[in-house]
Amino acid sequence: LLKERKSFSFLFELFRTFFKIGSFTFGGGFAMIPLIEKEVIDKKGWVKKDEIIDIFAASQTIPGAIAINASTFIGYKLAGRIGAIFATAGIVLPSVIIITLIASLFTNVEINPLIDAVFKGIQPVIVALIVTAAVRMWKRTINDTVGLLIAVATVLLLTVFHVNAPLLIFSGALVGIVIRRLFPDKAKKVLGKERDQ
Amino acid sequence: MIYLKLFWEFALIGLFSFGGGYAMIPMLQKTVSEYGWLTAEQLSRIIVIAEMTPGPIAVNAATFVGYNTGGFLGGIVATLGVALPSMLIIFLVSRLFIKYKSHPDKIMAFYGIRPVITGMVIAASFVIAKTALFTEKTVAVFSGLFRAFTEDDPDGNGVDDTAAYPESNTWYERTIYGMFGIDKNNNVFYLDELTGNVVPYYAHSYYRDYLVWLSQMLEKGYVKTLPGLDAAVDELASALSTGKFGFFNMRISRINTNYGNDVGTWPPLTILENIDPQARFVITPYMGENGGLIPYGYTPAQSNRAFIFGADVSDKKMARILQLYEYSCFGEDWMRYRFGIEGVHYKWSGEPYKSAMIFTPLDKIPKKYAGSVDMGQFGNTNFHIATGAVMNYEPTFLQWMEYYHSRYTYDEILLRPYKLYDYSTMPIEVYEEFQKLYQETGSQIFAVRNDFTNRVMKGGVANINAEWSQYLEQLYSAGLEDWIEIWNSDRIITYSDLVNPKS
Repeated sequence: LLKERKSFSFLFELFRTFFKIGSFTFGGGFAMIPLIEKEVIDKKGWVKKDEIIDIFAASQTIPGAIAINASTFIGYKLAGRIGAIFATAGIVLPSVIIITLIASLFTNVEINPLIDAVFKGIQPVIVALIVTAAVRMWKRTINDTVGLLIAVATVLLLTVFHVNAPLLIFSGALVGIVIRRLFPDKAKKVLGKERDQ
Repeated sequence: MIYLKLFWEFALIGLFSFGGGYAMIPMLQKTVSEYGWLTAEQLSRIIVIAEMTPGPIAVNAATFVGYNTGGFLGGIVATLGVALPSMLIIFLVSRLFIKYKSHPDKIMAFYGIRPVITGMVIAASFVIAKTALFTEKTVAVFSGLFRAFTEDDPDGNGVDDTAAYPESNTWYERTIYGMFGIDKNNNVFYLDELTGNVVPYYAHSYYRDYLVWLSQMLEKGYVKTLPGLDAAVDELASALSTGKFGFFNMRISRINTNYGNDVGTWPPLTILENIDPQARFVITPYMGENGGLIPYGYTPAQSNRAFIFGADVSDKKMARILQLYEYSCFGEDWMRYRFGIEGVHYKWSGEPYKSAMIFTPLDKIPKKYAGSVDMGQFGNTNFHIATGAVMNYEPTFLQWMEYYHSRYTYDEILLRPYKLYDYSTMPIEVYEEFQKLYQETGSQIFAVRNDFTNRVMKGGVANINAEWSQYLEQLYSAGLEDWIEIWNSDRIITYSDLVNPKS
């Protein structure tokens, strides 16, 4: 399968998909999540619904931009290193082109009122997209009381106490591992469920 | 060499920033200031643009800084730098990922992580929603509509959506003047850089620019002349009762008392909630108690002043307009607001109100009493909010103030005169000398100004730029020459010396 996916046409498709994602997401990493889901899961079926959350998790645990990390992960998973390079190039290139154009056209880096207006119009749409993504994720990931508690705690810790993201992810992992050690019955249930899927 | 530096610095940023694009900003700031690649202001603009354009913020910022520092290649190199650490780490991590794919600990770890990610997305949507739906949206509504005011039917519906405002010599359009860099205030004088003379606003080239704009707006029908105050209020009220218009700074109590509750809230929900795409913003005078108009003036007693809006208003200009509004508060706190506390912010050199004011240098004012501004405007945001009830501010006005206080410094938005006619800037004998001259020749000079302005408003001046020098000559021979002699002299200190006294 991997060999077939290293064909040029597949790599081009990978590049094209991420180029599209890079061209249409305003507002950075989190705003990209709904689009990545739509393109990579719904349209192409490259990644399974459960896998994508693990990819997002890993993307936020390691340093660097979330969007780059996620596209590198997905590219690597689909077609190895060359796939990672194509996917990342795809997500980065629209930015490079657009920003270079803007930087060369507006020497004083003046904010064009038109762009400004467009952006401000787009913002509510981004909110809607992210809320939709959050609801979808909620349905997929919150299956029991433990999940509910972790999610609520995360929202509180982030918005009220401004705890940093990698620490939260690490803590989440720790909770899982501790459950396996302390509550073997619960862990068995979870592991069994995962295997069924 | 610069490319190598760019690559290395951005690779470090990519390597050490956890949590995505926004987390990179502090590192970015440190790096660019260390190498002197960009000023803080340039960087903050770049960040705004990075947010506004599609794609990852980290990449946008890297490309921008790279391009600004090392051209096209610089942009590419910085972007590669920021992306490379991620890729290398993932190549390593992915192997482990695959190797331990079905390890129970890995499965349980991700069982714990997934709800965390969901929580993060929810938190992110809170944060984005907060900025997108409140401040930014309000700003978008206002700035967009203000801009629309002077464009030719910008929404393309074939209808002139703008409302009329009255314009005559008794109605002052301070804020529009503000956009052109001057204040229509006879106490304020400006330095004409061409001649080196210190002149009143109507002899400054900014006034010419304003007249050019005004004649264009009249021609397009965006500015109309109306019969007078009462007719204007009637016309406005009928427009407002449709719920399709917002109005700026007209006191709701004034409208409501006369016209009942069918004239809605400020601004109407149709605009704030975007319910009715046809809803428009209307530009109105600023109404005070008893039907008087509130001045941006030096004393609260001045009346018959109005604020109106127009022109291509950038956010920065908008902030400046709002700054002008701040002056329009008055009441018991006025004196303190204007000059601060006697003995702390200033003291009289002789008899109160009859001698010059000696101002305490800003850096010597105790922190407790220092406002964020100069020249005695010691009312900062908190002051305004605290006194908001007394001052009868519109709640939205306070909201606005919070917005621009959080974004702009006064330096950016303050409209400063070059010299100010005031007992604080000159000895009392000079004050009186000019007062006398003003009484003698003021009416002739104003007659020249009013005549020219009226001709412009009636469409009688075909080429304002061409007739400008002739108009100036008329002003000078009407007596302005004598004024300028006083104003050019150093017996009157400049506003900036007043604000920042030399020790």
